[in-house]
Amino acid sequence: MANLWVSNNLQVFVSASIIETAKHNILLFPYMPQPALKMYIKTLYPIVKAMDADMFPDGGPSETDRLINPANGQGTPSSFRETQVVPAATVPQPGGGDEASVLTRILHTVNFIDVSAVEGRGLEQHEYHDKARQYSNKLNMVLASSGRGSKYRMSLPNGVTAPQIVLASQPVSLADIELITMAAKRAAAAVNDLKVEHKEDLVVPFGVP
Amino acid sequence: MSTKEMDALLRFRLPGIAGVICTDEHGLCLGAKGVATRETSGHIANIAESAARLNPNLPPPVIAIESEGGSILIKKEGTITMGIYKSPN
Repeated sequence: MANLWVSNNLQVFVSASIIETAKHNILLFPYMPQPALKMYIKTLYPIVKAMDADMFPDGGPSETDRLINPANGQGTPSSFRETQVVPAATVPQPGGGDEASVLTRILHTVNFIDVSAVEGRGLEQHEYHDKARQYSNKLNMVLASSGRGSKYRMSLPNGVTAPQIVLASQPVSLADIELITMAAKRAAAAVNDLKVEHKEDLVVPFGVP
Repeated sequence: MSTKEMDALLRFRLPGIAGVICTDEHGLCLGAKGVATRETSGHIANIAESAARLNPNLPPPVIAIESEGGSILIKKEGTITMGIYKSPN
């Protein structure tokens, strides 16, 4: 069920049931001047009512139902409420045996995507290259027609065509490591040896009395 | 500049070296000879810096990038980074 609350700070909270939050998030409106806020609520209310009618075509609990039945103190027999943001609100209590029915209703209403059931097929390398090329071609066509100008490049370079050959070859030899180390040492020494020869002062005092 | 002389020396004296590049710690190219281009100076300096940060307590390592077109050896020493392009043998 959707409820509109206006708290003391003129902030409007719209909370929704767990079914609605599968499609809509909790909406938080910023502070508005009161006349504008009233207009806003007036325009929003039919939408909320429509959402209610959409969610509960058989006439679910309306906003005028009590949250807590004063006679027996049980929670309202309405749909399962998720945590509400209003500072003065009561703690939501799920109605006793209705939870199972609510759960089945959720399962039927919301389209679940079961990520654990998906098996990764795994792209072959040539398939990957083909797809990347197709996508970049399509993007280039769209970009060229839109006049933005910059070409979309495939961001990953091609790399080595036969990695097993490179991997199977001899590793870096010790002589090479020595070579680069000595070269780096000598270059560092040479850079450190750079000195400034002082020839003339840059700032010269003039004889101004 | 002496580092440039060193570039030439390395390239001509030893076989198998296709290019040499020397950069400072900010990626400014101090000298590039052979197949090494000025534009790669930033990448080489960055690679050396990132690899040195892997083990902060140890001296900067030697990085070897191997491919079919040869290998590139990179070493950072002090404020300068040296890169040697080796042709495949």
